[in-house]
Amino acid sequence: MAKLMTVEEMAKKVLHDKLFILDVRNDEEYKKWKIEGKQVESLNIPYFDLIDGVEHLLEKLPRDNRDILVVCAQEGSSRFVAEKLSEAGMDHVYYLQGGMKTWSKFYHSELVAADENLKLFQINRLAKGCLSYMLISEGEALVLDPGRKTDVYVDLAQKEGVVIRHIVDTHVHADHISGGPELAGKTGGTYYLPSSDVQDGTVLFEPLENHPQITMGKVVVEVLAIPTPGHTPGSTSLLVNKKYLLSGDTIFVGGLGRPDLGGKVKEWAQMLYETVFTTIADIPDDIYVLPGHYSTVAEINDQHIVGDYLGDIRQRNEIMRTQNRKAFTETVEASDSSEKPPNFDKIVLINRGLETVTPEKATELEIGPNRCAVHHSTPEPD
Amino acid sequence: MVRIAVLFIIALPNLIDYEQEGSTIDLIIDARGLSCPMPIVKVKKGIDSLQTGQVVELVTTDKGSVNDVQAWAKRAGHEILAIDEQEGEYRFRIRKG
Repeated sequence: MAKLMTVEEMAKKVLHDKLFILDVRNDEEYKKWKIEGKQVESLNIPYFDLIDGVEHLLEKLPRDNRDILVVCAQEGSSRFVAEKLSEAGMDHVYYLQGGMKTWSKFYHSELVAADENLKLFQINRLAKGCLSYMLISEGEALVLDPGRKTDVYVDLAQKEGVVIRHIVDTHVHADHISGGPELAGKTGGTYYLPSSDVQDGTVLFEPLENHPQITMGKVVVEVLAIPTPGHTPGSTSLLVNKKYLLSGDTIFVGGLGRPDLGGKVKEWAQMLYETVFTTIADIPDDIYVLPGHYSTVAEINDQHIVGDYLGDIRQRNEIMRTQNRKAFTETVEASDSSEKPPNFDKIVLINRGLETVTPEKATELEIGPNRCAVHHSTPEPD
Repeated sequence: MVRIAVLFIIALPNLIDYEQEGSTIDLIIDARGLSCPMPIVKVKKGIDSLQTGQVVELVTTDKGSVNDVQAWAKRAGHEILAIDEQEGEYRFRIRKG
């Protein structure tokens, strides 16, 4: 009998262990978006090639002690194939509970830092490469860039015995629907957004630019809001205790945020240049950057955290050292011709409060990778 | 009695449409309410019983079937003649290759 594997169990394996994935979705969907991990090997054979039998597949599957996890969009087809593999005598065969749809909604929390003043969690939505954060001090919490599944933050706050007071979006997101307004409603916390990203939107928020510093707890956790426009005109980074730069979609471990998702790529590319060579240039190398996204698992470090020192990021990413304005802007503008985040225009409208959708529709819109970085313009070879 | 009459009137325009389009359907597979992988399992079984050139119509309600049926037909060498969506129902007309 093939066994069920939950997304929680799979997440552990994706982060810590070896896993063989047989993805039975059609090849188009697989190419666009798949499960990745440093020790994950995956093979795509659509389920409709396996209806008559799996014999021709057996030789392609590992015979070591790795678990074989069959994955599809929801669950049905993976179960169908996993049962056939079991019947054909394969051991360690599992199918993924709820399929890619459930995986896309799974969040994993990792503790980044803990001292007497501050506890900092990175909450990783592994399937999309979306990162959010919870900062805790003296019984109070600030949540940054929360995803749509707000229970994750409510549950974490409860577990930590803290009250969520502040909810901040670094910018209006184009790749995922913000959980900010809902989380504010649930907790009574204040929801902050940079005004210049919202304009004619109807979402209720406190202008982030009016708060050069947000204090929290009895101990003052210094949260400086630094305008870092480029990805969007209002994009803001938070500098915490002069130690951590929560950089939103401006700087990633693997490079810069793309400036083309607002239809004003030339203008925003200039803003990004100013940000990199004025605002960011003043920030020292030993500041630890914690971004809003990652695009490959190579950006996850050995502590299972996506983050790096600003100096190392500058060192690795040539674009951050390209002082020639023309060369810089031409490179980042090139992202305009690359594939955009799925449904980005509609997601922006929802995040500005100009459109509402059912939870089912929201799940569907968000399916897929984030595609928020400049380097998506030069896809890595498969 | 009234209810039956109403149902009949609603069903009728559909039938007329099909005749007007003029293509002969040799087999109808009703996979409404079924989720992945069953629509393709059923249509595959159905098409296996047909001769090359004959046409099967598949009706599904599973959204995922839209891409999957096309990908499957392409790989299996069948031709998709039409795909039509109406009120959450997808109708595929497929000629066996």
